[in-house]
Amino acid sequence: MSTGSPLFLVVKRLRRRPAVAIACGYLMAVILLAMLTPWLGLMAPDEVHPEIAYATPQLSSAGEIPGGVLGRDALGRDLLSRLLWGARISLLSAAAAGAVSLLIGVTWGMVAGYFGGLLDEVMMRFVDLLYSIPFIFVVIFLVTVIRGMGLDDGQAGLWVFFVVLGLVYWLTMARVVRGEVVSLREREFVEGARALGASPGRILIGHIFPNLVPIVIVTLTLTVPRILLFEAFLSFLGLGVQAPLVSWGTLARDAFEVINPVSSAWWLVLFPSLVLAATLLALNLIGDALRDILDPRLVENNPTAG
Amino acid sequence: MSFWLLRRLGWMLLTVWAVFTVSFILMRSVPGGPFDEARAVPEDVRRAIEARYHLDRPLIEQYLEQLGGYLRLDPGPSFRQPDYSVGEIIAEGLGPSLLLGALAIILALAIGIFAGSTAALRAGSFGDQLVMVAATLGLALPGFVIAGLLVLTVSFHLGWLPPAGWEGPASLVLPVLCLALPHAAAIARLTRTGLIESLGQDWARTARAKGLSKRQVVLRHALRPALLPVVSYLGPATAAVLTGSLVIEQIFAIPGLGPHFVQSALNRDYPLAMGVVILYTVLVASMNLLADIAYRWLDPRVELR
Repeated sequence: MSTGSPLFLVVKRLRRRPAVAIACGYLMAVILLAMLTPWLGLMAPDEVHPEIAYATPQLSSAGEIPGGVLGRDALGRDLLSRLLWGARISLLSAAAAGAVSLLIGVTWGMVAGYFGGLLDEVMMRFVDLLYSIPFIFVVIFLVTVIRGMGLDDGQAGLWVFFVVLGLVYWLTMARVVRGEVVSLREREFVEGARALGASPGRILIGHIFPNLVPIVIVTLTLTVPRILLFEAFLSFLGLGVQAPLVSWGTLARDAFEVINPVSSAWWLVLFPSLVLAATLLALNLIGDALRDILDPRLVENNPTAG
Repeated sequence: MSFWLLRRLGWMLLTVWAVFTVSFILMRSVPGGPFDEARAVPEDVRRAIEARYHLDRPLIEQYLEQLGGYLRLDPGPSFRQPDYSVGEIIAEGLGPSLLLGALAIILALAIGIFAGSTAALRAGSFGDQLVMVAATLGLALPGFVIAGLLVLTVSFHLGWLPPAGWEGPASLVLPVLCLALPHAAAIARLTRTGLIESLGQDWARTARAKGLSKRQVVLRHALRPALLPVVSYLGPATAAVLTGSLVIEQIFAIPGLGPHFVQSALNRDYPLAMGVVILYTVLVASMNLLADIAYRWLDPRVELR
């Protein structure tokens, strides 16, 4: 990596923010642990031990002592194991849905921005229309319909769910990309490519797309935490990931079903919440920092819109 | 202005109609009837059920009839609670949900504007940094995480407030707080940015030079333009509060629309789910419209298109 390369500049500027460095470290640790979960020698996430239900967390889990580092749930399952297996599903959902939203948003924005005219008008009006709909309710409706079709079982159901998640969050990407393409298409290098007889597809992919990379990365980093949150939200309501699979949302749901003032199994609420919150915070911090570095023009966008 | 309003209303109607049509198509694209799991129903009983819900007519006729029903504010019967109409179920849950949402938005505005302007007046100070860190945290934390932590500490450990239920003002405190905090964070950020910018303008400096105190400059001059972004945030915030209250109502066992909607989604009670979706679409669209009107009132320079 030469000292003048854009990547080097980004890394150099990120170093000046200690909070961001911690966020990166935490995120990498979570991703690594999630990837290695099957080989960590943990108890299976659905291994039931009713006799040690609600065993409290204890650090010295030497040999056969029941609690485990993070405690046990209502069926005596190991919370640490469930948390890590849940991380796999939650992170996978964010990655898969992020890819879906990336694909749709970038394609939509590039086509609308490059061809312009009536096509642009119609495509962006469609985005406006979707923006003004409380989309999450429509998605929940869509989830019920998918269940009605019997598509919600096992592996296939999980992937359908990921695609549905991605379908919600491509609007901002489409708008940002379109705005950028509209200004890029008038530049000399694009005109030059056109004069040499390059096809629109070639210009878009070979000449315009490379210039979109920074802004796309920033938008994607800010979109991923929203997807993660939405997955947790739907799973919490029982509309997302289904048992026996676990995600951070289903763990929080299980926790709220069993806590009560008499014997509050606080660890069941606390640990999934902390992991989810820390991950969202880390992603937000990294996204904000990347935005400041890569594209100072991007105004603070509103935190809830698609 | 009136032309603009007409255009906006037309756009709103188009939105609601589009949501209605898409929902209808989705609902009818489920293979088999909605009552198929009530298995082994005799043929004539099945036909009687279908006749009750008009499922035996041609699709276009059903579509027009349902559209007409919605226009007369009568969305028809529920699939799973046959003794109640969708309208009755919604009317029952709407009160608590609206109260919760309205209080949450008011609280978010109060906390957000106060914290944001305090931070802006002392930009760069320790207090400012504290507010910004709190805002970053508040934006990142999902409602059920805040709810979990508050219930564990305030309700269970300290025993100050009820952990759930819908009796008296005390039971409102935690749910409203959980719904409001993320938006208070967003509003604080927007207010701070806006106020710092407007205090840097020439007219703000002139007002100071003419002897007004900093406080007077903020209250009389600078806050109004600084709040414009907050006003346009109110539309999306309404949508987010309605969404967030699905989770919050479930956690705190509040008899609002949320549990009905989630239940209808889980039992495939399509008419009820559709009713709630349409209602929320109308609510959010109206809120967006109101926000735009308020924007215009706050900043008369804006040409409304």
